Amino acid sequence: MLRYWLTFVVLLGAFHASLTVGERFWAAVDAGTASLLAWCLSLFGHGARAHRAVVTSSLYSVTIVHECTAVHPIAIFTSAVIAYPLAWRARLLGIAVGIPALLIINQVRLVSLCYIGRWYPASFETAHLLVWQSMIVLLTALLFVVWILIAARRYEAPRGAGVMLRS
Amino acid sequence: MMSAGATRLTARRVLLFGLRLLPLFAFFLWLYPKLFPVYSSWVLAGVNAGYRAWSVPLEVHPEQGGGGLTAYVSLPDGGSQLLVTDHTPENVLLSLMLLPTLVLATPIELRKRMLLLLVGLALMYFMHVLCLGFFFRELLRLRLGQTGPFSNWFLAWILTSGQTGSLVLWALLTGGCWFPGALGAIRFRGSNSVPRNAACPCGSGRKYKRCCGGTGLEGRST
Repeated sequence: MLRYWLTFVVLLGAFHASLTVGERFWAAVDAGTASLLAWCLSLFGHGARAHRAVVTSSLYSVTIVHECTAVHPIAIFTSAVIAYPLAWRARLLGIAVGIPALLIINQVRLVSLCYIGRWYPASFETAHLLVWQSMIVLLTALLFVVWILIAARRYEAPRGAGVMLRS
Repeated sequence: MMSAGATRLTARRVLLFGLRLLPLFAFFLWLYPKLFPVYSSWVLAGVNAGYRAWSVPLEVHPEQGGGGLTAYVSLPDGGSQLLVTDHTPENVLLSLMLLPTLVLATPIELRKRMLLLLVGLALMYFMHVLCLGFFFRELLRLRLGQTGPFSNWFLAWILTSGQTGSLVLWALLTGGCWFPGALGAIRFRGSNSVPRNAACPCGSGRKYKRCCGGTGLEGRST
């Protein structure tokens, strides 16, 4: 357990330290998130275009900043998965499935915020800062627990045995 | 050997965790505006006490008519000058709502959840004092052109530590609860510690031999 704590904290610290060093990295992540959002909005027929971190569309226009990306939830999820003492195959599978899942959740958040901004502008700030950011945290936690259940059953536990929690 | 307080992580319990999240979140979302002013005043008291202890020429107050904070720089002549009004605390203090939601939804014994919640809240308070204390100190250093190698690191960490901080604390606090199964501590049949006909310690209400002490678990020891 101590190893889990230490690995988790060290990985998270290293992750954050590396993320804050390069502004070029952040510019690429912001632009990538903006492009993905523009593509999603175009799918819904809103003719969106992305220029660097700015997305313009007939629905709503937004600027993507660092906190709008899924990088921080991904960093925490990945650190927790790597720190967790399961088979490496299970960990890699968790990361391979978890990262796209978090990216999709974040895109759902961004698209829904565009709709909220257009239709309920008075609720935009509450939805943006309070509700959706909180939901991202809760969904990341849920994803982690679901991964433990599935991965521990598949890679560690005998069929039907479940996973024991020390409560 | 089966530990007395062990709980079985099953799909049902994970579903329970997921289902608990939403009503708990709704409850704390409702409670948050009522708690925010009181809690933020405690955090500010801690931040200002830290500034006094380390002789940092800063003092932070709640923003008049807003949810942000206003930082003043103490001047040598005894007066003070406005440094910044910032709404970061609204984000940072969100974990006041998220940590209890996550901890209380965790499918473990209620008594342990309450204990983890108390420990978590204490750690969270310490984290908030530290975050906001460093945040305004770094803003002052930026204003004075005294940025150090860790300035950007601190600011980025603080800006994202509100919501994600609660996730980190939850993962740290409850991480141990999810462990034994993954470590191969799936309990095995024939354990001497639990009589075969006794109630299963996992809390299912069934006999141990028909539950965790049942077939298919032979040969696995902890």
